[in-house]
Amino acid sequence: LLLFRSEEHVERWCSERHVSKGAVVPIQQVWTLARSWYRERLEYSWRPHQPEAMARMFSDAGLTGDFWRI
Amino acid sequence: VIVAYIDGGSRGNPGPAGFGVRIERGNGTLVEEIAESIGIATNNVAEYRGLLAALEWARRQGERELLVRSDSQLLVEQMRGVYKVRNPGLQPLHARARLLANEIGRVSFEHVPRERNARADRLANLAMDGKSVVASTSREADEPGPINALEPSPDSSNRDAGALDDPLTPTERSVRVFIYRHLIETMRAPDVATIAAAVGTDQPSAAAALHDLAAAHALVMAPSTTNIWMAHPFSAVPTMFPVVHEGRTYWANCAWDAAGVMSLVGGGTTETRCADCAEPLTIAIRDGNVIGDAVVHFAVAPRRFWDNIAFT
Repeated sequence: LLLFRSEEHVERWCSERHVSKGAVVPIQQVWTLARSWYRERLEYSWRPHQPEAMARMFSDAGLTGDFWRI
Repeated sequence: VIVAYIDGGSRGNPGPAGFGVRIERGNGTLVEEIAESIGIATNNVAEYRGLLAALEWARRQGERELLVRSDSQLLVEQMRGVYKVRNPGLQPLHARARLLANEIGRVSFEHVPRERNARADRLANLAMDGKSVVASTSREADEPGPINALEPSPDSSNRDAGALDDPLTPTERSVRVFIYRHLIETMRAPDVATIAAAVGTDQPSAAAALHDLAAAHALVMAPSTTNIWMAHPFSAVPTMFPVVHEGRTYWANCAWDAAGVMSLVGGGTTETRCADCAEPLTIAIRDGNVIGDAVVHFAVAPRRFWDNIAFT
């Protein structure tokens, strides 16, 4: 997952490298997602995320649509 | 007002550790008791873990005000801002506690003598014995608590107690927690010998635990070695995403993980470059919000994340 100045930079990078464009997410939304995704990570009781939990975290961060479907 | 009595301890320092939390209403009515084993940890880490459990409970319940009572003068004075947090192992826990306290609203701290904290102490001792409990009740505080009829909870550290769907063994859990603690304290991943010594096992067992953790996607090993490559969000090797926080530099696997590292260590700044044009880009956390104007490209849909984790 790479960082870009803007969506235009993502598009240029993808076309130059023949990589298909995935989802472009503002860093603020990524911060929201990262906070919930890693919240339990240091806990002794941590478990790998279950699909339902992942789906909820994506939608809570405003990430919806087919790309985010688990 | 809701009152949380918290206590944490370890048998040996560090040693098998746990914490206890007893939450009461102002009139002494018992609301909830929590006891949780946390693997190998120091006394002070266990105290903080108890605090975090109480704060997380309060936030989940939507409480806006909380009084925390602890017999750890260190924790109380650090949370009041009177003592500095010099121990690097406590800094991320303290930072998380501050963040949670801010999210809740009004959280105050009171130092109480040990005898006034006996119930939380009893829960902590159960946790140190490897028993985990989450029990809530509306019974009066003077009645026997649910702790007397204690059954291991589904996420208990005791794998033989019916938690058959638990993907990780107690040793694997201790190894995992130790790896993260080591990464946060030293900015480096521990080697197998260090892990084995820390969790009290031999090197082949520690290597086997690492292998099983990798199979469970709890970490990533460098190919054909017993070296840790990634313990998400941390990278054991330098990457394009350094996270600098309070004079320490951590490495994140990717842009998302840079945000993940910041969330775990309680802040930080990443100076990197646009993957397309190589212009400098800075992301920073200030007061719980992200500062910076940038986008992350998710080239791989989440259901394919683990097909090729290095590419993701």
